[in-house]
Amino acid sequence: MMSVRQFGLLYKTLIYAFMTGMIVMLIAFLATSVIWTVKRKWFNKYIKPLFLTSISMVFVPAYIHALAWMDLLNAIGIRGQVASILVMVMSLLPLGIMMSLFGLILAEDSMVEMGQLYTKDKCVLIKIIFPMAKPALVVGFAMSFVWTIQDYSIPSLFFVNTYALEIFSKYSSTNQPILPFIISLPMMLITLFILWVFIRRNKTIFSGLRKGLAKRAMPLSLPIWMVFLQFIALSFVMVQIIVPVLSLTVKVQTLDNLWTSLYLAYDEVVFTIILGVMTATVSVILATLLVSKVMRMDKNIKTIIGMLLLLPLAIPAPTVGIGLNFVFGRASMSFIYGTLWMPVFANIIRFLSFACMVMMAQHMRLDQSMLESAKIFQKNRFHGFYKVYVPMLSPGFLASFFLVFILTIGELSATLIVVPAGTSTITMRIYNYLHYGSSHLVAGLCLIILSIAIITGFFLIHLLAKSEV
Amino acid sequence: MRINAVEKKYNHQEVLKGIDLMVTSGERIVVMGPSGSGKTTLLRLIAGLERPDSGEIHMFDKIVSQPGKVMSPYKRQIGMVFQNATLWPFMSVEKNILFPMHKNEIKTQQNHIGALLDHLDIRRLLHTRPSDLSGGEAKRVAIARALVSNPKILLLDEPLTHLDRHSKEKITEAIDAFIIKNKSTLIYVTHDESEAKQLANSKYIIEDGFLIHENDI
Repeated sequence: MMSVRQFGLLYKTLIYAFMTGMIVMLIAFLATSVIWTVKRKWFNKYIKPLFLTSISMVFVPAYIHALAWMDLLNAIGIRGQVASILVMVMSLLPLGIMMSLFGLILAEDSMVEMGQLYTKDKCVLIKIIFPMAKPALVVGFAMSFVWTIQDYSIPSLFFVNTYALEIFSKYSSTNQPILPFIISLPMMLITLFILWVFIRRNKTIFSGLRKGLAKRAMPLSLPIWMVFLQFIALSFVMVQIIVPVLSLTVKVQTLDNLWTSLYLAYDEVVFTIILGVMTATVSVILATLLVSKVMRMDKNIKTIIGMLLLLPLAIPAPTVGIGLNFVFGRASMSFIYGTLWMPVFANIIRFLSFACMVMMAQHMRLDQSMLESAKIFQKNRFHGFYKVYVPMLSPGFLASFFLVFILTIGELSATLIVVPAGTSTITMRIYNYLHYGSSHLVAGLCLIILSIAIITGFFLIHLLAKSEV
Repeated sequence: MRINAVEKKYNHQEVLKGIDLMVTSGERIVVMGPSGSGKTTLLRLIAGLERPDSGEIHMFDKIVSQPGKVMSPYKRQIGMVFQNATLWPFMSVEKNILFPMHKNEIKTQQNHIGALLDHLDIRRLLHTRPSDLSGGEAKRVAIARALVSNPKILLLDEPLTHLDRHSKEKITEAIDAFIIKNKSTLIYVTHDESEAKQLANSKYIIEDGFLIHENDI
């Protein structure tokens, strides 16, 4: 049973996650609302590159933001919960920007123009654009909330206790899987509820994106105080990009240090790449098979299966690791326990849902008549599958592969519990170092991961834009 | 309303060239022309949804549009219906219709609102969501929204296209009655000659970017 202290901790964690989610989406909405207020040329020249760079940082692990901000926050005396929320907001802001932009794309020009005919521009933003963007904003909030509630790496670096950390420490102290599982149940239920909201809303997003148009409406002219708020929000986006890059570069000091840090972590780098590639490959195969089956099912069954696919996101990361140890820790399963397959399974459980979401989105955007034409003209099933289905879905394959790959590289909470003895991922190495204070070696590794994450991010944006997922 | 030498380009292509037009209150004009000739652009310029590249638009003895300055659309006392109904999907039909009105106006204009709902046969739809309306119903709701605030200028962009006979009749009657009562100006864009005859009393054609007064109907 849960103790009073644990109830209190759960309550505190919920407030912490709620505040983080709200701040992320508030800044994101204010910043991205400039899409409707600045001239198109100006937007394309200055704001679009800023948003693209910010979104490309969506896969930068939160601990990199922590390392980048730590010294700065210490210097200005910000510590504990406030520091933890601030770093979490910075790491989730790219996600918020992405979801808010989705939402604003959904607001069609003609709907906004109709509003401009009858009311002030300020009211158009609040009464027309905001409600139309709301489904995506809610999803953005839900994702930020779930991410925050599951993460214990950032709070622990700022000495803040959270419920996810409680699950992990309970397992570490007792080595019993049942107790951590029981105390993780309330968190799973709350996360499930949030995900239920997510699944109800994301249909609107995917179908709405099909109608997304470039904005041609006349820019809204807002009162000065709203423009000021937009400016502040945009400054946050800029800071979120500049601080990690600049702070890590300063800490690394020289190019030699960068190479040294890479050389010293050679084993971890190789292990992490193998782990990432294996997890991503298996996830893409599973996602393709699952989604192609689900898409042919009845609407109600599709909703239920969609919900089931999201279920793993509700399981706290330490519980995934604990559960795997429990299942494969028996003598009969020893051929898997203690091998590379353990972290591969852990990451598949954690991130398969994301691969499925990307594949579903890709499926929904497919022109069904093209697939039907293939069915008529194909020589056999394999011919149609190979020549039409695969090429049409290839952006989805690549997008989900890189998505799972980069998420696996940054994963810590579950991997830490199941990783084979004597091996370690880059993230684990960095996390261990971080507790002993940051050095130029850690900064070097973080800079490398940051670069990989940003390059992957840009690549994914390019892929998604090309395939219009 | 007066339009003086208005020009508009899109991507270096001149859509409207030196448009001149003068309409007085109660006047009803129809603008015809082939697809892509600039009819909708002309309506959007009048509404203030586009900025002219040159020329001026005057309304009620004020300049409302010129290259450097455009008066906000909501200040122009305009009612407009686009080719699509463009009802806001997150509001009920009632909220869509009453959107242009202030709260106190809603109280004082109850008779006008009621008459409009009856004329367009949409009273029963008030609590419906736009996604549950047929094409004809959605267009009638859009017309109600355009007329509810008693606009001085009514801009209609092919409002009767793809509609059933019942909806066409209801809309035509409602517009006709509204203009007679309010002495509003009607600028109506259509491809259909019979619609033009029903609602307008003078006909203009846009050809090669020029607005030509063809005849009085």
